[in-house]
Amino acid sequence: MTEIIDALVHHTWATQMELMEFMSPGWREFLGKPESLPNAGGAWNTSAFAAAGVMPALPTNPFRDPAGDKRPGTVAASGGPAGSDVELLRVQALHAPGISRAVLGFDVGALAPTHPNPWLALEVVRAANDWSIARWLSGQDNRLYGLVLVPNQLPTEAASEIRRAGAHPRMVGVLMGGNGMARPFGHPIYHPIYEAAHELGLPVVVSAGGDAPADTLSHPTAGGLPATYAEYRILGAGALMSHLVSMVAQGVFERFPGLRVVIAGAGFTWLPSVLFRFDTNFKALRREVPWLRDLPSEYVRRHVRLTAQPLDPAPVERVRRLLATVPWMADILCFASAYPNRDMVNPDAVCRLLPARHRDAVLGANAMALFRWPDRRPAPAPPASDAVGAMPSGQA
Amino acid sequence: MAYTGPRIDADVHHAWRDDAELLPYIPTRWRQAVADRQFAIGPAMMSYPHTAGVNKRLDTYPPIGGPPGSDVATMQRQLLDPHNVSRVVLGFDVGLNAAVANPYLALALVQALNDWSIDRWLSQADDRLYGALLAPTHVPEEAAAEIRRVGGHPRIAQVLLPWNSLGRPFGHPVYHPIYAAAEELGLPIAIHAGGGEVAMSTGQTAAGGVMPTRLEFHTVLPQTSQHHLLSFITHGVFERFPNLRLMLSEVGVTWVPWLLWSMDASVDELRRESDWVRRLPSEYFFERVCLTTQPLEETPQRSQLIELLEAVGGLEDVLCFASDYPHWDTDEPNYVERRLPEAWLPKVFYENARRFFGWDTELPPAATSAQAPA
Repeated sequence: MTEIIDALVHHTWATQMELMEFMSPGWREFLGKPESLPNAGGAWNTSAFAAAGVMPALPTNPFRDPAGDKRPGTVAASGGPAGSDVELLRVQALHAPGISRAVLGFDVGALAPTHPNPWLALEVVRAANDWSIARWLSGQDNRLYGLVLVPNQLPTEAASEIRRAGAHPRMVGVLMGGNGMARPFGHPIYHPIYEAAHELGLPVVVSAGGDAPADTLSHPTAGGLPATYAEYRILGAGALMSHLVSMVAQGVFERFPGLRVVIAGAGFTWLPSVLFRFDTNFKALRREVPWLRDLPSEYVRRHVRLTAQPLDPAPVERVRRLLATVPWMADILCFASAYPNRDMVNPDAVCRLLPARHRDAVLGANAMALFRWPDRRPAPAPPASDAVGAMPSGQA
Repeated sequence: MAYTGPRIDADVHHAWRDDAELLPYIPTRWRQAVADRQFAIGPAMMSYPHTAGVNKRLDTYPPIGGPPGSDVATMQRQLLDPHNVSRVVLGFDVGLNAAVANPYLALALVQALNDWSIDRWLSQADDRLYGALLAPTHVPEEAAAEIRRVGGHPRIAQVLLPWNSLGRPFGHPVYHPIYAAAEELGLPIAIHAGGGEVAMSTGQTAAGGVMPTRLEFHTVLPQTSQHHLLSFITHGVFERFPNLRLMLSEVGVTWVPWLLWSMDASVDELRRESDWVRRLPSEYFFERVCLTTQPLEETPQRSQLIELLEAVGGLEDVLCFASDYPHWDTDEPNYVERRLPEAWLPKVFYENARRFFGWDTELPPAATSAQAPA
């Protein structure tokens, strides 16, 4: 049977109190005891994760799906939100035959790096990683693995957190989360994060939604802010396109030649267009980025993976024609369910889109070669290059 | 087998030779200050390289001086005559000149540019020259008035929205007076690529943060136009104005399959949040929208481009040829001809644009300027 790896499942704490157990006494006192504040966690806090009477630790996501954010039936019997119950997640997300590994990547907790208080953001992120290790990666199910969330608003602290939490053997990658500095992710301010991930052999996951929280100064869309969730959802891939283009152009893969990046939750049918535009523009504008030694699409092929989620219900034959315009597309797609999101996908749906010869790669083999699994020794990271950012002398 | 029929070029950029050529059209209230450069004829641009006048083909500088696109004879010699172009739509140097913060100066500049264009270009004997009128987007009611003031000119072909001055995607209800006036005059709307790369713009040019190089900026350039298109559907512009048509210029074409599939996949959410989404987004698209071909993506193999375009189905009725002359990444007709399926060429070079602009008389295959009335 084909081995299936689910490259992104969303797990979360049932209430903020569960997370606060992993925070320092000072921060616990700051956020408050339940019922200690009137109305807190009420109408102004749409995160629904803060217990009544405490201050919310997470930034608010202003975009909520009017048809429901989560797949019906994924709410835990205990009343906790979807993705908060290990047993239910095991039953619902790991039930398909052949699923051997699943990577846990938080839910709205991933927005924590954008909290306007960088010190609170740092504490929440540390606590979230410790919570993930204690509650999900300590013998609950040996198919579960985790991502280290990074406080990317403080890139040096983020690098320390990768070295701290990333030392745990069941942590297989890094999660950028919300866009804390409101810059495209190739910006040099973020490079210490990639340096640490590179050093530890951890791929960096960039997940959809990071430019949406109420506090970030980057926009989730170009041309003005969305008036509706639908606009945010349809155009949400745009921010991921920007991050992808930025990471290639700003030389992240020249500086860190062993680094890999996963673009998650943004679909993939936009990729051929972006690659063709990128390569075309590069021919004329390469003097802006003299550190790039290959066509942009070559960096994507070597260093970038995309999760095959969400899927648009376009006719299969049309999607296949589009996929075939990039000959190596099946080498860079990874199955991810995005359980328990409303637009989650199952392995069968992905298989229907792919010619039979590509199914094993997309369902499992690509992810197997991507993450830092404890039973697979990563190749030692090649040395980092420092040519990025320098303009050649121009002596001819 | 080369295409020999008439060609319409839907996006060509024209310019004034120097300040002196434009100043007479600027009201006396502003003229001296503009002449003294207290106010530039245009905004402070953001710092992307090549925005300051070198985003043009160097061979298009007219021999008599002045910037590219400022001399009719040079344009005739380089674009109209050799490439068998029967009609062009002139769209300024994208018209961001009006993207200044002061709405009163902006209106004065827009009116000056429109009067200059009609006087100096659209009154030429060369009847291949048509143009867009510029709408002052600061105050949509003033834009509507400007459309009614000059939109009846027989050689005005469309209304160009150059700057997203209110920081909202163009489908937002605040902009609707513009569409009421355009529909009344039978003029389609054109939204040109970009439009946010000026000082004090709040409609950002890219999702996810400010892009630092032109390489990055230009690679994700279609994002603004994609949002404008979707917002036309969200806010019911096509429902409220049932005869209005929309052209998206200079953003390429290969992103269409992704966006159409993605929009149709979210029709449930769209309907829950808007009273105006009454059909599938793709239906509005195929009925009302056209895209200019430039810059046509350079896939390594021609077949990759064709497969990508054919993946969506029906795109041959949507694309209109545009050269983008004299910009740095001009697509010449023979290049487009080599890249697209041969059966698409009569539609892309001619029929789609003729239908879009509502030009009901057949155009002859292009005359050269030597044959045109002097």
